[in-house]
This record gives sequence, C-alpha cells and structure tokens, in this order.
Amino acid sequence: MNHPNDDALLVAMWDEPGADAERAHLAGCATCRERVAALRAVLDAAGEDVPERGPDYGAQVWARLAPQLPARPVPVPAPPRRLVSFHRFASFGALAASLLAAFLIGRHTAPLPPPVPVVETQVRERVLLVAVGDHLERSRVLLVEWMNEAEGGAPHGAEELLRTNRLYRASAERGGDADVADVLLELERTLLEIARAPEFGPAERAELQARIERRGTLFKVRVLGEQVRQRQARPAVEAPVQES
Amino acid sequence: MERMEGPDDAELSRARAGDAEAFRRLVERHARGVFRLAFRMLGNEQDAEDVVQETFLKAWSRLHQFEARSSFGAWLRRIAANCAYDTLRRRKRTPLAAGPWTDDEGGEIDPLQELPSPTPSADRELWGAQLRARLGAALHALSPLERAAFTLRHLEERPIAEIARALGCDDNNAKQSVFRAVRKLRRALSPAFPVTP
Repeated sequence: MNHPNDDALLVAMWDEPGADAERAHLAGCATCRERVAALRAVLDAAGEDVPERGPDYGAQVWARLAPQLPARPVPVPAPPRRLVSFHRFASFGALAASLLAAFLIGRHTAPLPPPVPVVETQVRERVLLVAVGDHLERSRVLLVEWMNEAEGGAPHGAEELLRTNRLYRASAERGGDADVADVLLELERTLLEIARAPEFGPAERAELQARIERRGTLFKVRVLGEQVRQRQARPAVEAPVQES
Repeated sequence: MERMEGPDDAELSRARAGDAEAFRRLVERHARGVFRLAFRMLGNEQDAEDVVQETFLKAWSRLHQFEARSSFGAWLRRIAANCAYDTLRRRKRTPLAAGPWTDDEGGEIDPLQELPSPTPSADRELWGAQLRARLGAALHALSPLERAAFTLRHLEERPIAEIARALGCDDNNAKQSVFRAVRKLRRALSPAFPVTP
C-alpha cells in the first residue's frame, strides 16, 4: 500500500479542502492514523502553557486601552472632494492633513474636475512633504531624547506633536493608506504615553521605555521619515505643454 | 449570500457611530482570545500584551473598514496575527541547538519509550519538560512567517486561505510555510519524531 507523505497527511488532518483521497486513505489505514495521532500529540504540545487570564482580563485591557483611544473611530469616508480648495481650510495643518494620503502615496482615487495645474500641485505637494517630514523628524528626535533619559517630566512639544499627529493619522485613514496610518497610530499612542510620563515613577518609566523599544516605534518612524525624504528628493515632473 | 446576524452586531453598529461604551463590551468579550493567539505566536507575555493593546487600538480606528463579510472575531484575529507577525519580524531569531534527551542524572533516554505510558512518572514529567523546552526553542528558531502560519493553522485552527489573507501572502506560500515549520519542529525533536518523506 502507498502511504501519503506527511504534508498530505497534515492537510487531511486539518480538514483543508483538496485532501479527499488522503482522508479516504486514513479511514482505511491504521498505520497512517497512528502517524497522524503521534504528529498531532507533538504539535499540540507547542500550544500548551498559555498563561491563564482571569474573567476580568477584558476589563483590565480596557482600563489600559481607554486613555489611548482617539476620540472616535474615523467615520465612513465622505464622497471625494475637490483636491484643492484653500478656503475650506482654516490652517495649513488642516490642509496638509487632508491631502496627506493622496500626496504621500502619490495616488488619487477619483477624477477631480476642474484640473489643477501640475506645477501648482507639485509646489503644494513639496510643501506638504516638508511639513510631514518635519513632523516625523521632530517626533523622532523627541522620542530618542526621552528614551535616553532616566527621569524628568513630559518632554517639551509632546502635546503639540500629538495634536498634529492626530490630524495626519485621521487623514491617512480617510485616504485608505493603512500602512502610513498604522505607523502614525503607533506614534500617537507612544506620544500619548510619553505625555503622561510625569505621573510615572522610575520603574514605570523604565518599563514604558522597554515597551516602546520592543514595539520598534522609533524604527518605524525612521523608515516612514526616510520614505518621505526620498519622495521629496525626487525631481518634479515637468508640466505638460498647454495647447493653444 | 446573506450573512447571519452575529453576536457582536449590536455593539459593532454603536461602536462605529463612536460609542466607546459599546466598544468596551467588544474588548471585554474578545480580549482573552486575542491574548491567547498573540501569546502562541510570540511565546512572551509582555509582547503578547502589547499586541493585545495594538490590536484593539487598530480595530477602533479601522471600524469603518470592517465589512462584515466575516465575523468581528475573525477580523480581530486577522489584525492581531498581523501585529504579532510584525513583532516576530523585528525579533532576532535564536539558532537551534539540539542535544540528547536526558534523565535527571544526565543519562541519555529514549523519549519514545516514555510516550506510550499513560501514568505519570518522574521520568515522564522530565521528558514532558524537555519536550516543551525543545519545542519552545524550535519555535523561536522558525522564520516569522513559518511561526505565524503554523500557530494560526495548527493551534488556532484557521484555514489556510484565512492565514494567507492575514499574513499578506498567497495560499501556497502559507501552506508551504506551515509544512516547513512542522518539518523543523519534528527535526528538533528527533530522533523521537523523525521526519518522513
């Protein structure tokens, strides 16, 4: 009798589609059933020893989570708006935030009549990239300094960076750029934790520093900042010649 | 095909409208499952706790993206698996060093002799501890994709197609990663559980 190999037996054991022949073989082959049982026993051991969490664990998670939650989830995106309409924005921060996703990843999701002159768009894109790059760099420097200090209050500027970051993150989420939004969400969480640091004793502070280190927040911010810088460094595309 | 109403639907619709209290109930309902998945993928309590926090933070900020094609629990698992996978990718892997199976005096034992015994004994307990230690070391030595795919398939019993979606690879890649993980785990346990072709 030809016995299925281990890979085929695994597929049958897990009841994945496409293993009907192996399942039929198992039904009639005691040797293979024993192989599967031994295999399962060993692999199951890899899932043992998960530390027990009590029935109030969910409440504990919520207690830690609640202070970090942004005010409300990002609502369902509104219908596409005109890309450029300066009068709608009260500040450069809001303008930059609303355009972040489209500029950062260089894509537009809908036709945008009337067309914006290419040169004008490029100028604004570069201004925006400088703003985002500056935000990431200032956040990086603040994080590096805070991570290397054993004591002290909330670093100067943390609250302001937090506010700006919220704008950028919400915009990236609205623009559907999950990767950028993820990094900014993590940065926001970290800035929030640092802004609360004066309440911490030395042990809690060291623990928070270790946690931020493990999460790799600094690394992610550095990578995103580098991507923005690379985009800034790209030469501008020449404007098409207008037909008269 | 219409999706059946799920146990989380009422809270979900309120949470999507910004009701943090409804989201709290979802967190309380799913936190233990998310922790278990994260711990199995990472083998470290602190990292698993971080993944739990990160998962719910992302879930809150992406609630508008949840399309209800799957259950809320499955969607959360996908986010958690992805966060844990990122953590694995940032980690340095520990090379695997396999040695002989030994008893409490350091003498070599044949673990296969210990396996069928239904009754607990000192040797059997020692063997069990060695098995778990070797498995733990072998899991640490897997690539991030292998470990994530193996955990999701064998321990969390998720189908290959769902694993592929969670880890951002195709079905075949996910399946082959699980196979490689199983082979490596068995190799780490050899000669007790030799790899067969």
